[in-house]
Amino acid sequence: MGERHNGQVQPSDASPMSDAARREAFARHVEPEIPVLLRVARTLTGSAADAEDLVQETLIRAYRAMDQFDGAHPRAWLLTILRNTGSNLRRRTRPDLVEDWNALADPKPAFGAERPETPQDAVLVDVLDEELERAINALDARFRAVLVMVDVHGLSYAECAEALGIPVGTVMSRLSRARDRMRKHLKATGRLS
Amino acid sequence: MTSNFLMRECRRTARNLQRFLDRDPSAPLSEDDRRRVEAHLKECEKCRTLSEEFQALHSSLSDLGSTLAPSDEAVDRVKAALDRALQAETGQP
Ligand SMILES: [Zn+2]
Repeated sequence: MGERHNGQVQPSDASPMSDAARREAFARHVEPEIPVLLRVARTLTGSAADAEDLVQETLIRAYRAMDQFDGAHPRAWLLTILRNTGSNLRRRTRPDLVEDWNALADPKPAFGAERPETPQDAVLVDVLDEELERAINALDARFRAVLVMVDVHGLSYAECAEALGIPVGTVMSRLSRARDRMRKHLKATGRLS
Repeated sequence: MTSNFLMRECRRTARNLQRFLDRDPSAPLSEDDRRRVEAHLKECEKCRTLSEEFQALHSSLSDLGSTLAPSDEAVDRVKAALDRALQAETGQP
């Protein structure tokens, strides 16, 4: 699995980065990840406006910490900063929700690569978005967060783990349960036959 | 092939199916396990159906994801806010 990053903003003891180098590294490694950060933040906060605030604050911290980034896994690094930033913001504004936030803490990979049997004989009736969204919303929040990050937004297991601050094994077990419930829900409502 | 053997293979397949389908770099199946799942899916209709249902579920969820991409405006807003914050901090453009 990918390396873990603590995402803490620490005083830099190495040679300080020039502003130009910092801006260049930021543009190369961070800016391309803004859309995925907005998706994850939306999943964590449940609101588009809060997601933008959280991502802004995350980007400021990432910019300041740019000299501590090793160049290897920008998305995982940023997701860790996002999670820490989110916990701090939440503690400040909604101390009552901190528990929930931590409970959500877990991300997803692409299922897509493997197509062992082309389901020409279509098992899958087209799933209506409405029914799909109802099934997602019926999930327990912890399971929902993992399913949405991995299956909807395409995060890898390791990325989901960074975003939620939980082990990869926990991501996998929650994902498996979430998918199983989704499958049963959609079968019961005739959306998956 | 005895039905006991088949049931054991069904359980084994169920255990490995998500990893088989996801191919996530964090949790790769061994080449052996992968071939075993493949072979079982060929011979067991029940597990094959299950696998197809999970693939269908994933592709529906992934399609939903493509409709949920953040707007260019949202991306521009956070970039602009970052620029403002950094300028306020350093007094530089
Ligand atoms: Zn089977």
